[in-house]
Amino acid sequence: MQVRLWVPNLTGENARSFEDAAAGIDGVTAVDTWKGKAEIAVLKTDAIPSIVAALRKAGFEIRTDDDAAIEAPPARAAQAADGVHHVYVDGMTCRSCEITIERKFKRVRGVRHADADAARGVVKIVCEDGCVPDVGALRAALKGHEYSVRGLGAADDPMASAEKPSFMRLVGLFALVLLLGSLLSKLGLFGRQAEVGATIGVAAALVLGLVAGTSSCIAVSGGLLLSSAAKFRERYGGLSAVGRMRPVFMFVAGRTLSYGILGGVIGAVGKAFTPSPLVTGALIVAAAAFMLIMGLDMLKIAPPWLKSILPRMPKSLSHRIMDAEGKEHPVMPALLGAGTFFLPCGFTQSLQLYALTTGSFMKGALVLGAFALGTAPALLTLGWASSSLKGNAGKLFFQFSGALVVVLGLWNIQNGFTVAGYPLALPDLSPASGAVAAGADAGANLPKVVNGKQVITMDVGGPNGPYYPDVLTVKAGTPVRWEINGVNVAGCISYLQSRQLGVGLSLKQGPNVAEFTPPTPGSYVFSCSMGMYRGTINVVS
Amino acid sequence: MTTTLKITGMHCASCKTLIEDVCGDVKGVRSASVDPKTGLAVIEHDDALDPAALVNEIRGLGDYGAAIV
Repeated sequence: MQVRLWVPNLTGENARSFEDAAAGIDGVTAVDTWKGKAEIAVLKTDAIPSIVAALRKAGFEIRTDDDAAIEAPPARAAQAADGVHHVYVDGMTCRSCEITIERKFKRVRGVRHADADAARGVVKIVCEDGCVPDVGALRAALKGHEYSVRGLGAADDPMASAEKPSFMRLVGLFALVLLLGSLLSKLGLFGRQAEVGATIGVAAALVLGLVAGTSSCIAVSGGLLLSSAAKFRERYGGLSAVGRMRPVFMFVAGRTLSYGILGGVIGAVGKAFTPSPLVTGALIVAAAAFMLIMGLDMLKIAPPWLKSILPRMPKSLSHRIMDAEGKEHPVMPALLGAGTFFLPCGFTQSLQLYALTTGSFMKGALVLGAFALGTAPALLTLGWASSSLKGNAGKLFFQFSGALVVVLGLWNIQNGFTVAGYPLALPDLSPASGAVAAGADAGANLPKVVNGKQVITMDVGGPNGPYYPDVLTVKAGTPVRWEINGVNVAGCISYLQSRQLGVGLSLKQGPNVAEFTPPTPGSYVFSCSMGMYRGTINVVS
Repeated sequence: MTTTLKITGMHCASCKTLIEDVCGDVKGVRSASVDPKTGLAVIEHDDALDPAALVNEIRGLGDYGAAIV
């Protein structure tokens, strides 16, 4: 028979939990809900009082058309003491997974209510009388299914409570990131360059690291750190502050170690690690794509298929490791930190060049190791902020980092393609943009020819911008003599490259010369070694 | 007795698991097996159990349709 119940606090949001609660009660065969009322099908009329009692216990106000018939015991007063916990579960893909897990968890002792969210991989559990659900019991409940319980997270974890931000909020976040970015670049923070003289001590390298920590160099490493720490925290949201900082420490330790060791190798071998622009570009793009996806994920706007293209540990392996230790392998952030050695940054490149000249393992190791150590405070602060801010501040910081990582990702994808010789026609995100272009009629003014060579001149690092002029025009087929005046060459700008034109040279202060013969007409991009600063050579017929 | 239900709306292996699980919890059901490809659920249960209760149970999940074949 059908029974109508009046449920004043039944809304669209909690309808599902009402249905779940009602369906779990003995004697109920069907449930239907509307706003403020519900209809349930019951096997026998005399089951109604216990049903009403059970629904009241689940937190719903229940009245029926005939209240006298269901004199139920009063709802327990202990509800306020019930604890809300977030459990992280791997392997949920759809609505049926959610229901399956909710059903399984509700049978675990002490669990009054479970609410699974497959998209976020989180199950919210309401535990009776402030009890803490036993992770072992939860795991046992899902035994034989394709799911794995990672562990409990903090209820006030911004990660767990972060909802998908509204469109306006997203717009605001990105506007804030871009505004801050352009403001800082106007203040010359991103343009800051490293001056590496003929000799440099360990202390100087340390100071250089401190400086680099506030420069554009943090863009790549910091972005990687933020996103990997976020991922780590989301997956293994431990409760202790130390536990949360662990991936950050691992990242910084891995980075310092790899800089030390590889710096030493460079010193000993006397050969700098300079992969071809194509490889460097691919590395930057790969790191940037990782950041982009992670950033979108942090903002909760990454579609599931996008996340699935991120490399993952094989399931059997991750199961084995997690079952053994209950947490992720700690080496992951350390490896990521170590890998930052290969990500180009003006500071590290000039230090690598210096290590090259030392000819000794110890000196090279000390200088680069000290540099990496110098960048540690900035990275640790970033990591600390991302892992310990809670509540609204944490949520805001988290979403801001997400937007920041997305912007950095986009910017670095552009840089990577430029380095590889395939510049993208994206709106220019580079803080160096705004350099004066060389006149609109540049195409008409071909350079004069001296000794059979077209002579073009350009200032690097001068007051008019990184490259001045940054648009040059030459005629196809005739050799070009490119006279480059190094006004202030330091950092990544000290290397000029264009893969398509076959140009790649380290610039010195004062006059430099590059020679090439422009092939077919077209527009060719040249850039610094990071791809951050760019210029164009137009080849006309 | 054995009841065969035609279930619509299943899209993955979890649906199969879920429906088998839900049916298995109904009093009087001895075994339930769902083939997600054909959409057929074969349920063995006591004669006292009204198959309509199974249909209600599955429909109650919200996403599925169920009909006795």
